[in-house]
Amino acid sequence: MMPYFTYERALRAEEVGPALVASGGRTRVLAGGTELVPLLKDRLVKADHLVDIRGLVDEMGGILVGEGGGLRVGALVTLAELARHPLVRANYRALAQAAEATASPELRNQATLGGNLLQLTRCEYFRSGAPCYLNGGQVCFAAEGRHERHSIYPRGTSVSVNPSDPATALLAADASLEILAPSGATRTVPIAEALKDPDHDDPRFLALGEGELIVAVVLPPGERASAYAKAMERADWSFALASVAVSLAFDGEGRVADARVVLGGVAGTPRREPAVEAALTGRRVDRAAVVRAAQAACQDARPLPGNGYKVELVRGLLRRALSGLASGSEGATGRASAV
Amino acid sequence: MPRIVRTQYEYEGRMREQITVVEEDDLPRWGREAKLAVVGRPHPRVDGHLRVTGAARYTADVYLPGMLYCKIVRSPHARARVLSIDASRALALPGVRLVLTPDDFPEGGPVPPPLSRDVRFQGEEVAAVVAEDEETASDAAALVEVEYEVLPPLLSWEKALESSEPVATARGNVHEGDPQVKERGDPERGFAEADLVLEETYTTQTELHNALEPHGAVAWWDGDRLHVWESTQSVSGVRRSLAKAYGLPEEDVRVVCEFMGGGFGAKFGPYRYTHLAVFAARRLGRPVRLVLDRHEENLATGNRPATVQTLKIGAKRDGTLTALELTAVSLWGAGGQGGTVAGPAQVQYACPNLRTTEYGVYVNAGPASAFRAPGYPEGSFALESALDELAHRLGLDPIEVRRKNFPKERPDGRPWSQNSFLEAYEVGARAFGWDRRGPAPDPREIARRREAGELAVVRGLGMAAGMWGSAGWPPAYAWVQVHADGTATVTSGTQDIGTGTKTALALVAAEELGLPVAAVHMRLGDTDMAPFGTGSGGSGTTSSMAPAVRAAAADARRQLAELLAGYFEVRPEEIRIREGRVHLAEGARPSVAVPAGGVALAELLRDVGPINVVGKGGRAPTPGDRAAASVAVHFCEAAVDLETGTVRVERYLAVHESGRVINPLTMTSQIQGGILFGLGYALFEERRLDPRHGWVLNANLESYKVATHRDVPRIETILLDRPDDHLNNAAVKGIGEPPVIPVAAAVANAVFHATGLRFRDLPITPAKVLAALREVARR
Repeated sequence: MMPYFTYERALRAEEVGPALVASGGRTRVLAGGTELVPLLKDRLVKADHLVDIRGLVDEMGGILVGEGGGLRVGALVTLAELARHPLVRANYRALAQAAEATASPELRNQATLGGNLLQLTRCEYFRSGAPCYLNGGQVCFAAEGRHERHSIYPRGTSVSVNPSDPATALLAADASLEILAPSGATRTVPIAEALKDPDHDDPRFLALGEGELIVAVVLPPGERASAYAKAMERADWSFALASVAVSLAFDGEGRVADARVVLGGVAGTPRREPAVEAALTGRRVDRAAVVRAAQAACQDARPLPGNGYKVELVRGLLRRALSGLASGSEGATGRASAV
Repeated sequence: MPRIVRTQYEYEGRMREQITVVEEDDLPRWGREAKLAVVGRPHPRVDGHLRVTGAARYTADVYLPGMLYCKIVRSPHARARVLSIDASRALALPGVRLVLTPDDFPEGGPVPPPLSRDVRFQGEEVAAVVAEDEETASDAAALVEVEYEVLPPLLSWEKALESSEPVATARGNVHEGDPQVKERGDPERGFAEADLVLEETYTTQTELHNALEPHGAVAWWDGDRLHVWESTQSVSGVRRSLAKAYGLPEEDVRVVCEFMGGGFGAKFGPYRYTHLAVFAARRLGRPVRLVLDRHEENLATGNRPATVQTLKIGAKRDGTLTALELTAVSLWGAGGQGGTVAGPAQVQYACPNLRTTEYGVYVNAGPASAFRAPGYPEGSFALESALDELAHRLGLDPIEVRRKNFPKERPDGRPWSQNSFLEAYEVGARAFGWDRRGPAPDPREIARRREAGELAVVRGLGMAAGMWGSAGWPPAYAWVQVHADGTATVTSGTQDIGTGTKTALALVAAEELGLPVAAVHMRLGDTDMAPFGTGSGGSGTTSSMAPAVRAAAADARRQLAELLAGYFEVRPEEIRIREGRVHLAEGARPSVAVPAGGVALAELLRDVGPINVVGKGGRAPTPGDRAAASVAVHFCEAAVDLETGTVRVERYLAVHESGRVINPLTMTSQIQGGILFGLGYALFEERRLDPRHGWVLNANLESYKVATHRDVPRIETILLDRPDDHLNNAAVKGIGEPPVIPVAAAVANAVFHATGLRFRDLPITPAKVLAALREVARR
């Protein structure tokens, strides 16, 4: 049952940050609401006041071609819009696939890209209100308890994994975040720098200052072939047990000139996998290369007692994603779906 | 004439005996030769349009003038003692009318206390708040300050069996202190005679019901008369219990459940929330509503208990079973009750030597309850997986092994009224293309080719069988009133829990009355002005109620024929009513001419004026000399994604025999629904507990995974329409529970056939599949 709060619609993006700062944390930003509303109902997040930013489409909506190529995706773009946008599908296939693999059609119609990046951990302890580290307590119960869906690269105090499918694809795409500070200044930060593990002081997976808003996600130009592969317990509406996003640039001979390989659902942040990237670079993507690259993954993983299967899973997902991008295949030119 | 009898019947794998009032009828049974016009033809649900347009009123849709809202305060701890409750902050909130604590319900009172001081599972009820609106009640519940002494929970069945300290219930940690043992023949000799003995341990998870509609009640005292709207599988049962609890004549309790969104065994009641609503309504003199939310549903309203089953099978080289031994532990939670896990092993196959030992173990977790075929999907998973293993080891076809051990009678010596297993195997195997099934692969080869990037998806075929004994029972009564407009109303204190009972009974009444189905009104789900109707459990609603409705309709038809005989001045036997039109038998000599197409009943009665035709009927006892068997034979084609460990069922075929088919549409829906349940059980669903604190980690539908549309394959159903006319006048048996029974084993057997890997632990998740592939690769 929803606790009591007041509500207003923001008229200008610049006004939102100062209002958040002034409230001392008791005001929350509402966009798609698919994350905030359940958190409020479950009393995991407390708010006296909600600022609805859905009307700020001039500043935070739309998918636009950037200067010098690339795309600027507004933070209010829904996952459904992202998944079906022709330029995203053509040039950032892994991102379109990641958006499409997220949640359910109903949720994708409602959920925004910015909100997706700012969702909190799906850890069952946190979500069921256990007094854990991210709920203001001093313990991570998952580390000692049930952690089948948790990190195989445990570090810090929580073993949560970043649940966002788009975040994994965005890191592979070398995307940046356009962030509006309460002062009105805008900065652009590579997503690799913005991603962080959740912690006691800030359970989010992005390093944002007080009152800062993500206004857009910027995708760099460049001809690359990419694919996203995700494993779930069931066919739909589940967070990734693990996922991989692969983005490759080929030279004129069909060899990999540059590889960005990112693992999702295995650590507190989506994780570049340099060993796999190295195994691919300079080679044609054939079966032998795919098998070798997959085997190079997760060599340094330190699974918890209950989630060692994720190592096998990541390797399987890599074989799947890479097979779809094999040199000379349609996937390598970006025309065919790899998953 | 009604008479009192002592009668036996089978209910969810257990024989029950009772003394009850039955009525006999002299109707010719609807056997194989019966020619029926309405029954057996597909008919859409008579209330379907009300359900899909939102016009149907469920319990949560009941809003009464002046109604208050109640919210329960539940323990966050799995085991604790309530030291104190401070309600002052909650009471200070504007709109709060009452806070109830265990002090309001002294032990030994007429009602079992609905609030606890000794908490034995997370989510147990410790206080309740009543307020003017739902939001205030919810806010106030969060303000009730409960001080607990938190105690270490007992969660493991091994410790529960060892410990003599009663922790999970006041009575001890093992149901009745001892296991239930059943034995026949000489198991030790049977194993000695076997050519092959197989012994494996199978484990199943705790499954949550997650009915679409949550539990809930609205209570209102009209003076000393109590009205309760309750989402229940038994309006008559709830009335009886409430009357007893509050010292009222049953006539002064009215229980209503007009529409229901599923119960699946967990909604008989009254439950603690019902008593809280009734108590608060009396205290405050206003109607009180208490409807649970999804989180509460998944903490405290029942479950299919987890099991650990060790099954030992002995067989001859040709597959003939020589001995079966099952030791099963069921984790019933804090004082719950599960089903008969040993049921399938005891009755499904002819095995001369058998021993089953069943423990119901109490732990500090949500209490178990009945859940669609209680015990049977659990037991079937072990038994039907083991038979598949046995067939593989002996190099025999799994169907051949089942055929070989077909039981000619129930092990208690009673012959079957009929048993269609052999026909179902044959029909199903042909329709599924079972003969294309080759041997299962070597799993090491699968793992090797997977790592070499040569093989990503493998497919396999599996089958399993299930059985259920249900042919209904007395008492079950119905009234059928015929109106002067040519329509009729069927009234009974039973209910339609979403299975299509109203539609099935409307077809039965229409058949017997000679009216179109559209002319039959159904009045179920309200105990006022209705005769007793059965509870909807044990797959017994149709088989209990259809014979009673048929008898009542026949009584009404006789009365109607007598009326009409007077009108035409013919003998009553010469009156025929078909599709709502009155005809006369050949050779009749009426005083009023009847045209060739007959006369519409409505037209005729309009001239006659008011009529008072009320037929009544009751159910005869189910004969005890033969045993009933609803049979299910299921075939599954599954794809295993070796890269992700995901199992996807791609095709599913179910063959069912449950006696006469009343309505093929709703029967098919029942089968499809059961298979959906089974797929969730096989692959996705599992209540996850923190192993130290006993917290439920996934009391929601995000993390507790039920099958979604994309997980559901094409489901083909074959209905063997074989009227079983020894059992009751409608020749019907139960179909609600049988479809869920064999699914998990059929899936596991298909996964084995695809991969060569045997999964003996449900659900079969990607983590387990990948771990098994990794282990076999290392070997």
